[in-house]
This record gives sequence, structure tokens and C-alpha cells, in this order.
Amino acid sequence: MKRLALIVLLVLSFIAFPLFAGGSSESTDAEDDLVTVAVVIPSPLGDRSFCDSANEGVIRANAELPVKVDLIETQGVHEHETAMRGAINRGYDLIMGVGLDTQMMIDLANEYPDQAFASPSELSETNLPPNLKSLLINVNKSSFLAGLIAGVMTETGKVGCVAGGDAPGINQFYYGFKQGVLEANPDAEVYVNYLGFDFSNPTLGMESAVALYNEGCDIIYAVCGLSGEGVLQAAAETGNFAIGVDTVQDEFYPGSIITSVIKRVDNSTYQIIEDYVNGDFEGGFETLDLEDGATGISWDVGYTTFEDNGPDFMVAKVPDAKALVEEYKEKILAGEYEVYDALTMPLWDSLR
Amino acid sequence: MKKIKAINLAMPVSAIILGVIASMLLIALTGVSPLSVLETLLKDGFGLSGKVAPLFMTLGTSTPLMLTGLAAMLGFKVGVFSIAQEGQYVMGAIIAAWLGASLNLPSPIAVPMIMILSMAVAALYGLIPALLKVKLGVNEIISSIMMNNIAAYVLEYLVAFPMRADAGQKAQSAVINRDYWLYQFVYGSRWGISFVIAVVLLIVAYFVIFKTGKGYKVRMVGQNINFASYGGIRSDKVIITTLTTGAAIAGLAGCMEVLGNYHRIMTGFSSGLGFDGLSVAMLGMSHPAGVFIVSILLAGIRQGAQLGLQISLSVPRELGAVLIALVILFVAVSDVYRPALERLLSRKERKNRRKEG
Repeated sequence: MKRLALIVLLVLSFIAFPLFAGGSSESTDAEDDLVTVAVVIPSPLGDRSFCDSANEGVIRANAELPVKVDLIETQGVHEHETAMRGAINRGYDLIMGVGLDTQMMIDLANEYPDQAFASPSELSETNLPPNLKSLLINVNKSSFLAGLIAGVMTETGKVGCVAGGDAPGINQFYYGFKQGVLEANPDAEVYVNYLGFDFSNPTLGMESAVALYNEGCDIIYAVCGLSGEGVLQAAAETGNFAIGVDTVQDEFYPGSIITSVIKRVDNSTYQIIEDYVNGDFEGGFETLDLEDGATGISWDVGYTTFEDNGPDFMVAKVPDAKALVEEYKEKILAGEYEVYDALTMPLWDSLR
Repeated sequence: MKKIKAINLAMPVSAIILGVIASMLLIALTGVSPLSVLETLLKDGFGLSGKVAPLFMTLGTSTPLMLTGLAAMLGFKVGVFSIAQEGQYVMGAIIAAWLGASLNLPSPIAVPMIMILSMAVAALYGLIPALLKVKLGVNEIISSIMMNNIAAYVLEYLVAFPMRADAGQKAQSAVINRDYWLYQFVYGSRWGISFVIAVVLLIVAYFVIFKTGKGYKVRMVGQNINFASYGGIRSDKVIITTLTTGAAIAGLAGCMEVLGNYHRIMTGFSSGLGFDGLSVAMLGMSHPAGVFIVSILLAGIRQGAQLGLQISLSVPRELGAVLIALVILFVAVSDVYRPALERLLSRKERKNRRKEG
């Protein structure tokens, strides 16, 4: 009996210790009058891609704006709605769902007309309720630029794309890229490997990439979230090349990753929060593009990782690729050249 | 008799308490007060405040757990460690999503029809490993893992190609007919008619297993198959019937998740709810009442731990998952402290008796 009492005492002291030592949970009182925002992301952090990018925006907003932003990680579709409803219950001023189901977002917005909702990415629907805001980043043009680079630099004339799944949102990357490759190198062949919507499986990404490299491809565009890490790794291990996505991934395997197509989900996340804080929040659908700085390639923001570390025969082609990118970027921005957009257009014959 | 009941109640309760304490210690290491952890767990898992009370949401998410837990429990009762519920759950969901989107009948006919057909298909799917086990002696664990994988990939294929809704960003089937959506007591909580069905099934299961001849046979086969066969019970038949019944129940869980909750199937639908049924059955000491209580507790702790903790206290969701894992671990190692617990209980009983005497 004595021993039991001792154990109980030990446990109690453990519990009580942080009460006296920390007291960190009491610091929230001063923050009560801040604007509160919840950001629900579709998978756990740590993908060094989509979710982490959204988190960057959250961290920046917390640091620079008078807000308290909470990030809510989920795992798997069955948690998405529970997390959203959990956030609604807590009475946040603004609730953001990153890359969640479009219909669910619209239904929730209709169900709670007084609650502000927003999506910083992926929600492609023009007819939205007034309390739901969607900022969509179009990535077809930046992918096109990456395609130009791949078209110029490929040695084998074969280029691949490992894509997360056969859906318009992902195909926007893929078809823009394919158009770019063919524009720079009309004889090139472009292969695609869809992963069946498995965005968190680097092993699968690696297998798919190795299969494409064995097919003769020497450059692969990875458009598949965390699975893309496997693609990048495969490039480094087989002595081939890859193009990263979402965040600047050039430095993961220096010299193997030619460039990255950046999708600034961090900026769009931040922008929505900023608008809300400034009282400029307005529902509706809006797109961001190259000219807004929401997307682009890593070369444009000063990354020279590949030039510094890549093999000489590839680096020698970089100036040509850069010139071509600049040329087309001007044309695109001037409206003289059109890039296919899988989200809004029927598929072009030239890209089939 | 009384002692057995007390220990059955004490085991899961002590496992849960020990699990919670152990993970509170873990969380305390990150500098968050364990008391506020406990408070958040209770408030976000079982509280009644907010636009939709967390308790109602917990009851909603506990519904499929009750059914898959019941399915797993039936396997345990007949002495088969069947983990095929996940695949059966998925098969039931596929049928429900397909029929729900394509049938054109008034809902009083269509809804029961969808449920029955989902159960039938899931039962057939469960019949395969059951037959393999009984007729060919194939290890049920291996065959059911494979069956689960097959079902998961069939679903991934269906939502990516034949059942794919056109406009979607993701691979998902079309939303089912709105008339077939199951009624929810509190809109948005997912707590609805499926909960009632699950509870009724648990009660029926209790009476069948413990109060009928059939149930006696099931328990006898489960406890000692040789003795049962010697006593004239056709144990093969009992195993097959029990396992297919469990399969039908797991299929019903998938069906009602589609009809009452998701209204469609999508990529990633197979997310381990079937496996959670195993934990529920184990924690619930293979008893319908235990399954009922544990389903609600587990759903609530999960909601409080994985969402509440990270929202209110910024505790990473992984620690919430660790909490649940620890609870299950404490059940798994219960043999270590079971004797101590039994001694404690019997000592108390003796004391009581002495007092009475």
C-alpha cells in the first residue's frame, strides 16, 4: 500500500511540475482581442512542398500582422470536415481550408453564412457564396517556362512528368509543361506517370521516376507533393535531372534539380489574412498568375544552385534556356502567346 | 462471476487512464500543463458548447467504430483474429456510392435496398477469407490483409476512372441522390439515424451471443474448437456464418458512412476505420457494451487529441495519435498488470465480505 501511495505521489508531482514551472498556457489573455484565423491543411506538415508552403504564410502572418493564426493539420479525408467544423465551433473570425474538397467548402459556407471562409489555393469554382473567398494560383504559365528549359536541356529528347493524379488541378502543371517542352523542342517526347492521388508516398514517386528514367527520359518534372521527394532522389541517384515544384527545391540535391516551379501558397495564404485584417475581405473567385509574383521559376528569384553545382555539359545550356524563358515570358505577359490551361479549356489537339 | 465482471470493466478503464496519464507526461515534457490537456480533451471531445456540440460530433464519428468494432468482436468470439473489416467496410461503401448515385427510386424503398445490397456484397467479400480459413487452413490474417488491399485499390481505381465525377479536382465519385441522405439529429454533427441502427445492432448482438443457443455455439467454438466439435457442433459452419455476419456489419458501416456522412467515395476513403474496429473490440473486452463505450471514448479522445489539442494548445497532432496508441498498448500489455489488478479487486471484495460478515 505504501508503494502505491509513493507512485501516486510521483505521478502527481510530475503533473504539477509544469504548472509551477511553465505557466505558458496563461499567456493567451492578452491576445483575446486579436483577429483569429484557423488554417486547415490536408496532410501533416513536413512535405517540404504544398503544406509547408501554406505554413510559411501562417508563420509570416503571425509575425507581421495583428492576428493569431492557428494551423490545423489533418490526415486523410475523413478528418477534413471534422477539422473544419471543429474550427467553426471555436468561433474563429476567418477559417481557411487549403486544398480541401470544393463542394464541402461551399456547403459549409452556405450552412454558416455569417462565417468567413477562404481557400488560398486549389479551389476552382467561379460561383461562390459571398462569405467564401478563393485565391487560385494558375501554374500553367510557370510550368510552361519550366517545360521550355527541359526542352532545351534534354539530351535524350525524352522528358517525363510524375503527376499526383489525373485531375484538372494537376494537369494544369503537366500540360503547361508539355506545351513548353514541345515549343522548345518539337521532336521531343513527353511521358507522364500519374500516381493515383497518392501525394504522400516518396517510395512510389521514386519507383515511378526510375521507370521513366529507364524509358530514356533524362529530365522529370515532379508534381506530386511529398511523393515528389522520391522523384528528386531518383534523379540524384541515377545521375539524371528533375524539376521541383511548389517551393524552391533546388537545394535538396544540388546539381540534380535544374529548377523549381514555385507556387506561392505562402503568399496567397498571407494575402487573404492581410486582406481580412485590413477589412478588405470579400468573397468570390480570383486568380493569381506570373505577373502577380504568385508563381514562377526558381531562377527568377535568384537561385543559381544548378548553375553552381550541375555537370558542365548541362550548365553550358543554361544561358540558352534562360534566353528562351525571357523571350516567352515577355510574349506571355504581353498577351502574344497563349498557354493551355487545363482548368478552363478543353484539351488542345496539339497536346494530346 | 461478479469478480470476472469487475475485472472486465476495470481493464479497459485502467488502460485508458494509464494511457492518458502516460501521454500527459509526454506532453508535459513539451511544456504544456497536463491539466489543461485533460481539460481540452474533455471539452473538445465530449463538451456541449459551440455551434455544434463536440459531444454530438463524437457520437457521429463513433458510429462506424461501433459497427466495425462489433464486426471484429464477432471474429474474436469465434476465435478468429480477423482483420478483414477494412476491406468489407470499403466494399459496402463502394456499393452504397454506386447505387446511391444511380438508383432512381423513392427513398423508403431505395435506402433499405442500398443497405441490404451493401451488406450482401460485403458478406460475400468476407466469405472468401472465411472459406479459405476453414476449408484450406489459410491464415486469416494474411488473406484478410490482401483482401483489404484489393478492396482499397479497387476503390482507388473506381474513383479515378469509371465512377469519377467530371468536375472534381480530386478523384471522387458523384454525390449520391439527396433524398437518400440519412437523417442527422443535429445538422452538421453526423450524429443521426445510423447511430440508432448501430446501437440496436449492438443490443441484438448481445442477446444473440449471450442468450441464445446459436450464440452459445459461437462462444464454445471460440473458446475451444476441438471441444466444440467433439460435442457435436459443426464448428466450420459456425465460423463461416459468424465471419460473414461480421462482414455484413462492417459493410453496413461503410454504407452508412456514405449515406449519412460523405455522400460519395473519394480517393483515400480507406483510411483505417476498419482497423480501428479491432482496437475497439479489444479495448471493449469483446463485449457489446464495451464496444459501445469504447467507441465513444475513442472517437472523443481522437477528436479532442488530434484536433482540440492542436487547436487550443498547439500540441502537435502526432502527440494526440501517440495518446491513442498508448491506450491500446496498455491493453495489449494488460497481462503484465492484470494479476495486480485482480489482487486489488479481490482484496477489496474480501474486505467487503468481512465487513458484511
